[in-house]
Amino acid sequence: MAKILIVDDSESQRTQLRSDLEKGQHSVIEAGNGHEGLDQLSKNPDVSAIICDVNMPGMDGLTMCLKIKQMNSFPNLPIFMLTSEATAEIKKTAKENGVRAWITKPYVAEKLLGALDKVLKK
Amino acid sequence: MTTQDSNFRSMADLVRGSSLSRLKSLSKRDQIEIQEIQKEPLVFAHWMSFILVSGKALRIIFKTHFMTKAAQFFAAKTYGTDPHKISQEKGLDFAKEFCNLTAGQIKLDLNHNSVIIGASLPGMTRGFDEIFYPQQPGSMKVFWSLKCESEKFDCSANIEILEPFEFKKTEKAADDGEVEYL
Repeated sequence: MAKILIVDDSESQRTQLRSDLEKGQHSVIEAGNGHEGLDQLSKNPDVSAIICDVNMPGMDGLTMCLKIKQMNSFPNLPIFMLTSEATAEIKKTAKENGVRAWITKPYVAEKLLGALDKVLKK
Repeated sequence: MTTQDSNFRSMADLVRGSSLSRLKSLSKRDQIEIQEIQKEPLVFAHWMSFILVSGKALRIIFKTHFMTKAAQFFAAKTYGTDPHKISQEKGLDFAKEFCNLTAGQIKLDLNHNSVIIGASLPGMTRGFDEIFYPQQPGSMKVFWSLKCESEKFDCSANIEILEPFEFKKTEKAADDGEVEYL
């Protein structure tokens, strides 16, 4: 069981993710944008992975990832981007900002849980 | 048929098809069907969510027009509960996410054709505000319903072709949820 931080401005997306992750025996905390994500991470340094949207009001997902990378406190924290964005350019930026995997919305629960398990076992 | 006419037609098909596939997957309701709207009303419904996809070659405003009850119906399975237990706020959030996913699908198919576009964040307003979105000269407006049981989302798209381009619908369906390790 791992603690997963979901960062997405869509409540329906967060609810769906929470339900699927809890079925996979994970515990979940939520944030509605990058600012809230950083705040949650500072309060929950035991987070095992982050699932994050790209386009959000306030602070976007890629900026949040860059800030986490610059903190140097979470060097091995896996970050999954879950987004409707899919250009090569944005994926390149994501990789530079420390993102481990890219999932195009809409996600498939089995694939997401499988990827999480794979990354968390490493 | 000119390239621009062909672009209008293929974009109209793309937006309609994307809206259908994304509403099916988000709402977890496979029985949703497209129904034609014979005549455009002045105002479609009480609420309107919208998103802009835009690039050098084209600009599309995709809108979803709906009543609160329809949003609750379509959102219910996503939230794993009954429609009457869905708050208005959650219903509206669902409609915005539907616009976001539809725009994402449009972007993916256009990217496969080397047409690069960006998308705005989805917005929400009263359906009556439709009257503040006049159709641009030279643009094409299409509208249709996504219907399931007795509920529907009316959809409309305003399409502008700024620079004609080659477009072929991707034969292979997008691999929903495929995980790509970076």
